[in-house]
Amino acid sequence: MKEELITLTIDDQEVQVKKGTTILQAAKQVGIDIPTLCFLKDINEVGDCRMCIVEVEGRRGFATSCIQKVEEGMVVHTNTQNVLEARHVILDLIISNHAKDCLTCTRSGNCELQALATKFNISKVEFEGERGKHEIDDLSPSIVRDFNKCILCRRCVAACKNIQEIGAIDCINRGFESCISTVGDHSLNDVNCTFCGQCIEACPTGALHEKETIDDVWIKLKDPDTYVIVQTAPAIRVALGEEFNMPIGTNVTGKMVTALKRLGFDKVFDTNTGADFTIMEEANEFIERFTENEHLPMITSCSPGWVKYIEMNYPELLSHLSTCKSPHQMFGALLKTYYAKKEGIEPKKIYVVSVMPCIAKKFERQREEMKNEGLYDVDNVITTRELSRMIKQANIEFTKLEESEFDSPMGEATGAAAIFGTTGGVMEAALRTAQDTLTGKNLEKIEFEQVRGGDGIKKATVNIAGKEVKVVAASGLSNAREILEEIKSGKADYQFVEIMACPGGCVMGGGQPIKSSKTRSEVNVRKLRADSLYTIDEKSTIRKSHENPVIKKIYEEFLEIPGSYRAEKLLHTHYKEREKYQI
Amino acid sequence: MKKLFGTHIVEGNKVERLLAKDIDGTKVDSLDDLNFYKKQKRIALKNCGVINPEEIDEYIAFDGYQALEKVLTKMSPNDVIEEIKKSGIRGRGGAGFLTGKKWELTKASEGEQKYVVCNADEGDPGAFMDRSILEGDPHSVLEAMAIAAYCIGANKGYIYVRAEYPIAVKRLEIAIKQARDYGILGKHIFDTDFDFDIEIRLGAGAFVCGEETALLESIEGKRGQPRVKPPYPANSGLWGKPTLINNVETYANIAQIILKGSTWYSSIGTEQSKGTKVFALGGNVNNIGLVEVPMGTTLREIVYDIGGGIPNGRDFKAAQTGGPSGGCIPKEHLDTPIDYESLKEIGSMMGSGGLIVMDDTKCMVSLAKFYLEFTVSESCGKCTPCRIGTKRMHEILEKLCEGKGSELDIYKLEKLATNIQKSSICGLGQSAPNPVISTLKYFREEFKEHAIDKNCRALECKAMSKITIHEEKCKGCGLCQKSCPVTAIEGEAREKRVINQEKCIKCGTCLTSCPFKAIGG
Amino acid sequence: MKTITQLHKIREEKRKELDLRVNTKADTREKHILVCQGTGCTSSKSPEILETFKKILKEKGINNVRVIKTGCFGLCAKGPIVIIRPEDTFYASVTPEDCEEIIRNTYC
Repeated sequence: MKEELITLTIDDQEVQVKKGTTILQAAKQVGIDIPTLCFLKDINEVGDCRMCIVEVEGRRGFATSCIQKVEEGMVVHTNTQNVLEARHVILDLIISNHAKDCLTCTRSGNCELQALATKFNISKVEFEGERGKHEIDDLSPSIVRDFNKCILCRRCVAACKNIQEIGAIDCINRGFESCISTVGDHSLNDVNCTFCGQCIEACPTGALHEKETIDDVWIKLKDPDTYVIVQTAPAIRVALGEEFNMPIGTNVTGKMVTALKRLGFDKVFDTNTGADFTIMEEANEFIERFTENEHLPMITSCSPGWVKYIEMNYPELLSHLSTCKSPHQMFGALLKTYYAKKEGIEPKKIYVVSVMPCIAKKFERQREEMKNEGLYDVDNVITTRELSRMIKQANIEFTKLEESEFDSPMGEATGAAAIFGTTGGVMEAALRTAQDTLTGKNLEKIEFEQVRGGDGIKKATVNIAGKEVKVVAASGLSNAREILEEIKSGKADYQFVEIMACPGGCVMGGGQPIKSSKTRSEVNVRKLRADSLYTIDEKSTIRKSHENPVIKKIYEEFLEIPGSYRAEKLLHTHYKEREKYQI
Repeated sequence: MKKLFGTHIVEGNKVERLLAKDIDGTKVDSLDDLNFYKKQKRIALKNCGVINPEEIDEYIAFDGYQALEKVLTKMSPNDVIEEIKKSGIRGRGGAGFLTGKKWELTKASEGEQKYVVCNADEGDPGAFMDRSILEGDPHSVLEAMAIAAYCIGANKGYIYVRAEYPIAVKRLEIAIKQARDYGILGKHIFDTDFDFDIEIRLGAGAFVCGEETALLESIEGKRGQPRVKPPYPANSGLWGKPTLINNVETYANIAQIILKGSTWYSSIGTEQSKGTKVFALGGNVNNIGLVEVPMGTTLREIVYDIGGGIPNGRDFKAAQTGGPSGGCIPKEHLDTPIDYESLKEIGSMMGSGGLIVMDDTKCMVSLAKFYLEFTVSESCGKCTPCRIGTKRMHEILEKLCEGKGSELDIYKLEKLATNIQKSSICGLGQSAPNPVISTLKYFREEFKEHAIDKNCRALECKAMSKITIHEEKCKGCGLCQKSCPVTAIEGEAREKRVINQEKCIKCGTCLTSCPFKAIGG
Repeated sequence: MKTITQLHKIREEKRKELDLRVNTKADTREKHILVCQGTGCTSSKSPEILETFKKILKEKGINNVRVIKTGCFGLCAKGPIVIIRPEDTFYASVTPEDCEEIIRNTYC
């Protein structure tokens, strides 16, 4: 069917666009920029902030360009004196109720409100008045909410409610007293939040940010008695460059390693190595369950937001969850046992810092189950954003850095581990190892295209050693819910499920560089970052976890075989039913 | 005295002392003799005070459900819509959209499932028109909703009524039950294929839920905040389905239009505003109450003939119509015929029917502040201009009333008002500045006095009002001195009195005590 | 459930019975005491007035005077309002204590 076209006039230019296009999109097509603030493409299209108002001839009042659809013959004016004055007043009003401590705000320089203030030349606030005073909620290990900086755009609410279908936050009170909060205005720590951090990614200002823990890292780095090891997750290397104005998805592995060494870490290791261990253990666990037809489908457990979600919402399905710890936790456990012994370092003197694309990892690392001999596997988790701040603090010119390699022996990893950072990647990596293990051969067909791509739920049937295995890769918690409901109702006919809490997987995690609404509507950030990971995989000489010589060596010397007593103790965990509300 | 045929009841004597008195003091024998009723024409209120609202048979006795029967058995939906259109009736909720047109649009909107909604979330301060209709004649609303449902092709209706109206809710519940028992609601009404039932939904007192799209959100179980229009409810309403929303008073007229015809109805009222309008008359007026007058009745007739004028012989200063969304009408417009267009022209609006009369002791800046205070606390907080803008306007008005304002504040007030009006999402925000805009239009001098001279001529703004005794009028009677609670009035017997400004607390007691009107601002 | 015919019958019979409500010249054996039960009058004791009327009528054994609850008469400033039909006598600011006298004067 031919698509219906609509002709309209925007600022004296005739425009032809598809039916159903919004005025905002139509304007963009002819290069006319309309400012927005609450708009977040496909996530929050509600017209609350009123920045995007335009004049439409023959219509009383302004039209909301971010949601109103074009009509045949419509005549739109986007920058009349009336429109400009109204937008200026609206922005002035927003700023009048905003804590203007930009100098000490984590979002300074990457704040959509600040950018608009500059653009509109708000040199002084015309309509100053009473400002709401709100207590900062920093009780959770992951997220800090500072309502004094909130502009009530509700992008966070939409991300939580519509995308993740959690609904941990929403608007409470009315009028000037309105604010975004939780059930009963409790701390985020005490409600049904999974700490996925998608709200932070959606926030245009500094009202939501991660609980920053880099000061602790600096203290440890200065302490000569502490052996500080850093490990970086796969998704960091394809996003960190963005914080230094490099193109989205640029692979900066080499520069990142150099920077970390400059910062003074004693060792710079790769969480990818940990990911290879995860594959060894998880593939083994899957083969066992598959052969014995027990607790199927088996669901991956490397996404801590997801784990918290199932613990709170579907505790009856916890037996489906793989008992594997997530890669950085496995890696931390090995660093404080195998590596410590080998290097002759006292385990309690080792301080493991994980750089993660995720804020739920900050919660995960302090779970009681993540301890061995009284020591946490990982001592600190910082996000991609926090690492970039450390690099800036140390006055390192990131873009000019030479490239260097991860330290040995815990720095070698496979292509399979690299793709852990994107939805479908864990599944693909596991299948590579599972098929070789089951057939006893070294198979060449290792790419599983069916589980790649940005769809929220990807189902596929793969043939492993003559047996059909049905697999699913889901990302985003609303999709997770759909899969869990299928399992619960007995409709699930698949055996292996990969779930990641963030839509698109870790590359789009809550700890990753924050992209403006404009960038998010123009560029497919997920694809750029994920493609970069697939390129790393493609270029790797070793692309199967079980072929990683480091892995082989450590199993030989220390762990024996996947699922051994020691592997169970160090690399596996257990889960518990969790109250949604501790109030 | 007459003897009634075949009975021992005779027309008894009247209890003189309880008979209602007219404003001039004459005792009135019967309802029809009261000036209050003489200029009224009751259509929407026709059964109020006549029937027992809890007895469906009484409603039926006064032509109840006859219109529904006529519609279902003798008219097509198009016939009905045509009749409603010809009657010229417009929405009584405030905006005045043509009711027939709305029905036509909702009928034309495609969809298997459609809804009929009654907006009974009356929220304007001082308004109780809808409440009285629901309390006095609930069946008239049910009947009209059924007629509307038949026209647009709906079989489910919702009445969204405030929980603060317990009597209205109770009577509606009784009425719905009785109508169901009689088969007037339910399946195959009057042996036709038409099915229709009604559910009551209670609102929890948010003013914004009277805005139609916020009301829909609330029925859907969500936070009551408005949606951006278009799309209009006629195309995408409850759960995204075509939905017809009318106000209680609009519905209360429908059956009469069907029974008596559009020609009859359109003969009442003015060129563009047909029929009658119910007003809740309040404030500084003698006959506070509920009145229904033909469109086109002048404000003077309402205030003086029906309302009996201003108490205590004071002067009329302004009337406020349309509640927090409306504006004020000053003395020079007392002869304006009340209809949608005329009110809009003079900067006010019909609104849902609140009509508050103010005498010369009312300060217009304070009045604007009062309405803004209401809007600030009732704004849903969704859009910026209404959430923060009205707050800022209120702050400025407070400043002016405290004598801390300047001319720049008046400029800021106007700038905010214009921009909030144009850029807010819903009717609440768009009309929130109206009380300020209209008072500024007619009483700018008073604003300036507040800003520049730090003076409130109505003496309402205590922070800056100064009460003085006009020497030339004072007769030295001393009544003011006796009335003053803080002995701030000085002077010897039979001499002219003076107020000691240091001691005066501006309570205003002396103002009313002076028989010679010698005390003022 | 009522058929259309039944409804017609109710309308016809009931209308005759209630004619006195709108017709001061109604040919009737009855009188109706209408007591406003709108919100304003209700808050100033009109339900008590209604009950008092009923009680007195019962005590006196008068059975052709009926007490009816109605909606708002409009003149709220003068409430509670009681109207005697068919003659349309308009009583204002009535208290429960006045009921006895009203009945005595209405019925003699």
